[in-house]
Amino acid sequence: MLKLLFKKQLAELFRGYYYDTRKNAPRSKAKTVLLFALYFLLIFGVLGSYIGYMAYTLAEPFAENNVGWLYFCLFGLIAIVLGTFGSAFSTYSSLYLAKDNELLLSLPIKPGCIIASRLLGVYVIGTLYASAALLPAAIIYIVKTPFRLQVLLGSLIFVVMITLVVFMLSVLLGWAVARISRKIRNKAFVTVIASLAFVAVYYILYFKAQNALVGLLSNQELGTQAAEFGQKLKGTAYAVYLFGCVGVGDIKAVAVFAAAVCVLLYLIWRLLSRTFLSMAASASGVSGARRARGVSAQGSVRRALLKKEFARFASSANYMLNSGMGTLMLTAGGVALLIKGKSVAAAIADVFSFAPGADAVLLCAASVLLTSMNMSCAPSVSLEGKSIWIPRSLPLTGRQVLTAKLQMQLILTLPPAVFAAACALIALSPLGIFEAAAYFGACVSAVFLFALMGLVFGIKRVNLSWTNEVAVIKQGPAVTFTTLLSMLEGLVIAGLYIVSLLTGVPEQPVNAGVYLSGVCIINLALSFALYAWINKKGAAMFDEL
Amino acid sequence: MLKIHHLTKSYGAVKAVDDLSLEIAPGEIYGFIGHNGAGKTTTLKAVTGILTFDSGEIEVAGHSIKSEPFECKKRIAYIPDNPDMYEFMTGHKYLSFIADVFGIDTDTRKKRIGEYAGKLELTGALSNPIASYSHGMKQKLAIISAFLHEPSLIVMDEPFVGLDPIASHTLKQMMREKCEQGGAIFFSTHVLEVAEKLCDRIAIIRKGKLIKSGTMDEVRGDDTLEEVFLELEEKDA
Repeated sequence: MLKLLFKKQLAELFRGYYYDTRKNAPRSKAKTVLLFALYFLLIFGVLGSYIGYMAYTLAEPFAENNVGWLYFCLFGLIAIVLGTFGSAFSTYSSLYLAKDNELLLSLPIKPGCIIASRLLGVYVIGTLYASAALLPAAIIYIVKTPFRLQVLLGSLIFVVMITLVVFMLSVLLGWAVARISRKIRNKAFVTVIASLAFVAVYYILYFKAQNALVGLLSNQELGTQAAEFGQKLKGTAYAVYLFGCVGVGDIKAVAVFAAAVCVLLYLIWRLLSRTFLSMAASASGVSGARRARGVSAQGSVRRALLKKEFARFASSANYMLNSGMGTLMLTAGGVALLIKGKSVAAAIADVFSFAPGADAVLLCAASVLLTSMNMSCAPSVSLEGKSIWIPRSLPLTGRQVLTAKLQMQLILTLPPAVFAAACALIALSPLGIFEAAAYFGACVSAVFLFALMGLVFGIKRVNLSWTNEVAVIKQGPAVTFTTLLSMLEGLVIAGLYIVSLLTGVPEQPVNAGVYLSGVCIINLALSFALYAWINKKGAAMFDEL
Repeated sequence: MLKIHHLTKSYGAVKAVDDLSLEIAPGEIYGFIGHNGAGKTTTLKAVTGILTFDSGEIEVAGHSIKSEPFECKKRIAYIPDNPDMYEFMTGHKYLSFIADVFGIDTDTRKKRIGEYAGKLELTGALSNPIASYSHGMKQKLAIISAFLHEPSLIVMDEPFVGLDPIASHTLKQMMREKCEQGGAIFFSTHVLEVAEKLCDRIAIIRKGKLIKSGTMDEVRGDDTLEEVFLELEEKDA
């Protein structure tokens, strides 16, 4: 039974990858493989390459100075933060808000089986993110240091243990959110605020760790420094030392941590199995739900559709967190530029002193990356779900419905993007009018391009038969491809520019204004093409869903 | 009010509706009867423009659902068999959304919502999120939203499922009033007694084909509708 339920869970998580719901037919094997390859490329390519670079620099000096345990400690902690961050947002809804909870509970299936299958789904997602950080680190350590079977086995056990730690933290966070949600009025917003607090703490820790690491990496005596630091850590936090020792195959450490993980797993299992029934039942209930005042005054169709999109957005913490973080990050980025923008621009200009305007290009790339975090359009079509009969039976055109989805993302993204661009222009001053206009145009045109791109993928990779919204908000192919391509644009803007500087004539660096104008023109051209497709083919496809 | 000419719709190799033709005049309650999988829901969804079809024509008040879907939908309301609604909205917000789509002014919408919600005893629940509604309450909300813009034709798929006896009775009254005002109702049901008492005309469908239609007396003769239905089913099996 567990196998059956777990297969259902996996099928739900990755349904969009092997089933074309628009055509109501399975995808070909080649397409499925390609979609999965792209998904893993995103996770392992982007995260893995960054972690891999750090691991490559640290592995040898740490091993030579006999502080391999510190190496594993470091990457273990990164993996825990990354894995928990990746799966925490979805754990609550996976466990307690699945639409088939009631159905499954009404069947002759032991609740334990249902919980276990849900937990395995959480484990898979957490493991994907944690592995992206941990596997490259473990592989590089084994390859770069003299081979020892003990280390090979230890690092394998370490990877498994970390995935279990990530799993336990995610489950506990999901359980805590469910507990809090039972007693509060606006669950979605409280979940968002709690999650944002978690993200804030994460970023503070991350940047502090990164600063420390940069300091360590820039030090010529890296190994010696690490050994000294390791000695101090071993003396003050022996448990942390033991934790790292698992990675290098220390039998005592493996035994202690394996026992600890087993005990904790058992306790979490007991906690969940005792509370699941009552919490799953109350999670779908309405105690304390917000009440509306009454009938609204007449408004236009456009306004009604837009209000509906915003109501959908505000009703789901998952939707807000996974598709609206860009609004917050762009605003925060703008404020940060107002405070420290001059020194950031000066630091960039210092490195690229031979290329005036390099700061504008790199800040534009950063702004584009932050913009890519807003992608409400991508899951919005799938989120219509089984309510699709409503727009389809009303006198509404597909174009009207899609326009409302587009407008929501633009309203969420355009003001903070403009604000961030304005802040950057203050930080970057004095820029010429042409350069400033090009900077502004490149940043703003990306907002339109990403929204339109998300909508195109949303229509082409639609999934209306989900039982858990996380399947389309977080793991759907529309969201994955939109994220991948929009992030790629940010990286390409910076990458191409740096490559052109490194390979071009030093006396004639690429003009930043011209370069950003090019970005703007390409963005606008692609946007017009996508907009035309949505108006004609996309709207027609929506009408036939 | 509604004309269906030679409607055919297939799902792959399976013909869900096969060359079906029928007409509904203003003022009529038209019942659509058939076994599970006979093609009733497919037909109803095609009429409301939710499903495209392979061949044939559907006209609502002289407008083709194929070429003028917008004009047709302005005149239609649809109540599905399982009303999956916007659960993130409250009842009030949902009805306001529907009212906005149909351009109903503030006073009129307040009056109509008050009236229909009062009749169906849903007034108190309209402030609550739809997610908190039972199946019957969602059904009541779907009924209110269907009557809200005073459509010429209401298409209902098993409208009595989930309703309590009082709400069922109220709905029957509302359906009759609608037809007395010149509107038409096209609905599917498995409850033959309801069809027998309520419908002016009925059609029996089997495996996508219309096997009998007409006024209640024409279809039934001296038998009960149940006897006729079972006889037709056996004959065709």
